[in-house]
Amino acid sequence: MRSRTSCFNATVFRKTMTRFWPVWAAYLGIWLLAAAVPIAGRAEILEAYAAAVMRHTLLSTGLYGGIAMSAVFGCFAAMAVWSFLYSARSAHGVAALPIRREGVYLSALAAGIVPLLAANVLAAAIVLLTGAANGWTDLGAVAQWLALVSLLNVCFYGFATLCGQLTGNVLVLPAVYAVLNFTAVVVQFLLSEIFGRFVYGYGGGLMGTGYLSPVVALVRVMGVERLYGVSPLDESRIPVGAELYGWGLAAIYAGFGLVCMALGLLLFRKRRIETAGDVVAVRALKPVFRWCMALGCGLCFACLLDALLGGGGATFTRLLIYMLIGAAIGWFAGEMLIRKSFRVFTARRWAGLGLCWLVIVIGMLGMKTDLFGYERYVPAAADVKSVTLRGGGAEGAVLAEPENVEAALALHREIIEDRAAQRELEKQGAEARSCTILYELRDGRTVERDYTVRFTDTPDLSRGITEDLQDLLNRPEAVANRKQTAFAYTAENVVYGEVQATMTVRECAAAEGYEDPALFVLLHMEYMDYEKVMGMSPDLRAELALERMRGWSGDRTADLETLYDSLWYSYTLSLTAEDAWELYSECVVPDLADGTLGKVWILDDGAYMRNAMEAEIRIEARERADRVPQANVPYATVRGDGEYVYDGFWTVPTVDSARVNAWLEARGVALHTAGETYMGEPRTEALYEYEYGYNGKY
Amino acid sequence: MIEVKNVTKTFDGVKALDGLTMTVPTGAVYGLVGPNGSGKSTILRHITGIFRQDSGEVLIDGAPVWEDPAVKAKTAYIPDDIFYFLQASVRDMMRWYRGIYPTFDQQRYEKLKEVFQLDEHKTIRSMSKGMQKQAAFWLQLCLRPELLVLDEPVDGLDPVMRRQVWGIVMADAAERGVTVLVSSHNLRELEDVCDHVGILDHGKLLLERSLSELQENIVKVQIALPDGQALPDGLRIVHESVTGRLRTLILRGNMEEIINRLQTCSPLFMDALPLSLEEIFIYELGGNDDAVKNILL
Repeated sequence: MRSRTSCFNATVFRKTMTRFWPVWAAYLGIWLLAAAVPIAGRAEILEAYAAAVMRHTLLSTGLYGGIAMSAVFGCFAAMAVWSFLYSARSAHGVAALPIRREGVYLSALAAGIVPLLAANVLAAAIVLLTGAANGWTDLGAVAQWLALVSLLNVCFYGFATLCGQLTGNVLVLPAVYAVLNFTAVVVQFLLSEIFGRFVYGYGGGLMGTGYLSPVVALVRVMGVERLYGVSPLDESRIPVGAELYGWGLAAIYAGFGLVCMALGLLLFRKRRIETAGDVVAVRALKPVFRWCMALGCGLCFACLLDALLGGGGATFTRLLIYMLIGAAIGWFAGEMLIRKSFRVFTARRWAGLGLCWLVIVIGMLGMKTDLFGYERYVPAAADVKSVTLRGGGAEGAVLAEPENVEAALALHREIIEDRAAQRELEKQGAEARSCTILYELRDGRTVERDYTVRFTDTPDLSRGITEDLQDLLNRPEAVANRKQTAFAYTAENVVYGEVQATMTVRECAAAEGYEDPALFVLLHMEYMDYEKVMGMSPDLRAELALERMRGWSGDRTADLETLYDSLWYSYTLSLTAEDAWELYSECVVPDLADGTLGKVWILDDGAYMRNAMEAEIRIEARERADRVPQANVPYATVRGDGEYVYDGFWTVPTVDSARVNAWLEARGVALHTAGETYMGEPRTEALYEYEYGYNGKY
Repeated sequence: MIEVKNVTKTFDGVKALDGLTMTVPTGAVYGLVGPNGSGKSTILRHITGIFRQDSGEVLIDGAPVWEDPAVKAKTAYIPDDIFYFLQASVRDMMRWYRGIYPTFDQQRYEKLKEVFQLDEHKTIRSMSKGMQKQAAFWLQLCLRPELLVLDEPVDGLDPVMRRQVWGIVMADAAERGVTVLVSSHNLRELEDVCDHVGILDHGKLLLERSLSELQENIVKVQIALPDGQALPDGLRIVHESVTGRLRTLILRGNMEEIINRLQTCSPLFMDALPLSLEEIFIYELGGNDDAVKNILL
């Protein structure tokens, strides 16, 4: 005969829940402070856009606060409800009850999650009431907050519950939980530290494992974006709302939490009650724990000692020794924790450590000798769908045309072939540029390699590699890819343009229509009062301008005319929508097609100084969201007279961009190369794309 | 009836139970004795469904105990280390058990309140060990169990309370046919209450009999023989000590037969005495020196 309370026991549920009321009260209290109090506080600054600000605040609090609160209180809740497993007295007391294990598990499980969810509902209701009392009602935002926080609760509580089933010690639960939450990221970092040093071209082979660390992945992937609208008063952009993105990931992690709960049940059903107090409660996991401790400590110890003693540059042998020492410490520490005794130095355990050492030595030697062919691997051209190249800090350019893919593969082969020379150049401290090659293969896999390519002024393979990389980055396909806009610009959707150019004072004055450059100096550079300046005599204006320019230039002896022609100023020309469209469509696009715009220079050979103009062109456009491919929709969405997507284009003229240069010069913009404006002094970094960090899009 | 069949249990490579087989008849008051570490508490935890055996069977009324709430609902268990929630009072624990055991007898709870005279609102943690033990008896006896499993049950209780507790337990056994399985080192006390005894050592049952059977099979005789007179052959002497002319013999066998045989030696003095459970325990474990030392210490 089976008990009718086999799957759930109300007494266990109720008692477990009420026993730990301080945990739930603290959770609710913190949420009220974090979510409801700011709403009440903002009531005093209610303005037209306050609702949008409050929505953003609430959703941001729900996301980042929700991750933190769920991570912490999920663990606390698990520690509370499973605490009976961690002392022999309570474990025996509960195990003797006439309730099946499923019943105990599900009742205790519910006693941990129900109060958290109930506190969420209560907090949401209070937020809603507080908002309503202050004239702000956004049921949607509160509902999103509630849904998100609840999903995060399920994720982290489920994960902590599973951790709770792995151990028999209440203090080990949070330790295991914290370690498992960040293991993937930490191991990836540590392996990258070691592999990156000894594996030529190591490109983060464990990339993607970041999703095994929920906190990190959620913070990286999810976010709250402000939505902007047009102010009816002055047509400026004002916040009109906020949207939470990345819901899919939250749902996946909540599902993961449920899976953890189910796995927890399987472990609980098989749990040996006598493991109360043990560090590892699952017998089969004891060797796994020992090995993880050994390998984990080996990695950590190696990186730690390397940083402390070797400044991050230890030799392979020394690093291996550090790792073996760390592994031994981890191995026996793990055994001590399992046995709860210091008497663990038995012959059997030494033999186990020997095996562990052997695995580490084989692994490290395999890495060093490229046993698995990682360093030599170059995909076959037929397997490659596209290659993304990044060089010298410039944003990636995607190459898919067969000849470009072949060129990228050839570049990759050259880099591998030049390894010995590269190592020699590194010792000499030669110039270096980063080079990342990311292949997207036809079977869906990706292969990534990261190199630091070094070169000298001598024409050889090393320099040829950097030149080839620059050539690939400047191929029409690469330029077109870099300069691609979110949607096609048209006369209707281009709304604004701006040109910034570094010009002499005299040129700036001419562009502004002043015959006397002193007027430009005083009105535009010094921002003096117009009436006051116009009331001065020309001589006085000239003397004042000279004094000011001498101050800026630091040359107290320079005369006025020399300063007018040698002092540089960043001049801004604002363009109407029509002018901006004309510049873009009639000059920029053809020059891009000619390959005279959108180039990058990664070699420090002065080409940038000679070819790039010290000027920028910005074009801004907006398009109805429903006309923009979804994949290209950035988060700057505008609501007002419809829903719009904003996009910006940005580029730098070169000496060869004839159409652009002529158009600008016709409007008084004098163009000078980077070399000219810096008065012939070479710049240490000739990488304009690198300096701006992005390529044409903002 | 409790049937333990060839049960083994290993903790970290150490065999706590080594093919243990024992039977507790329904309605019996069964005393489980044995030296420290012999496996008494371990087998009780199997019988109460806390531990799962590595091999063998643990049955109550023919049904396996493990994960059977119906079987476990008939059992009340008072361990040496009593379970209660950290902040709980007796009344809190009463509510806990009342919610879980359908047989919980509220009326009995109220009646036993007068017997135990504990403050039911006081936190159990703040009570003395003896008072905690009383609370455990109070609560567990309210479950109206068919099987009462007691592990060192009266440790910490004062003599009056011991008598009172045993009185209630014995009354339950007599009136309701409750089976009582009790593990204790206090052999004198067990002798007063038990009708069956099992002696456990190294995870195995050395012997299991009714107390009367046990006592009938071993005899203590004090005898003084005439000078030059030897004891008759064929006696199964377990132990012998001599003080002057007076010999004290522990003999295995039927008392009447032994006395008849000893009479043939024309003793100057002879007296046959029954052995206490403690003496039986010591002499039965005579071959297991360590075990004897344990129990004597």
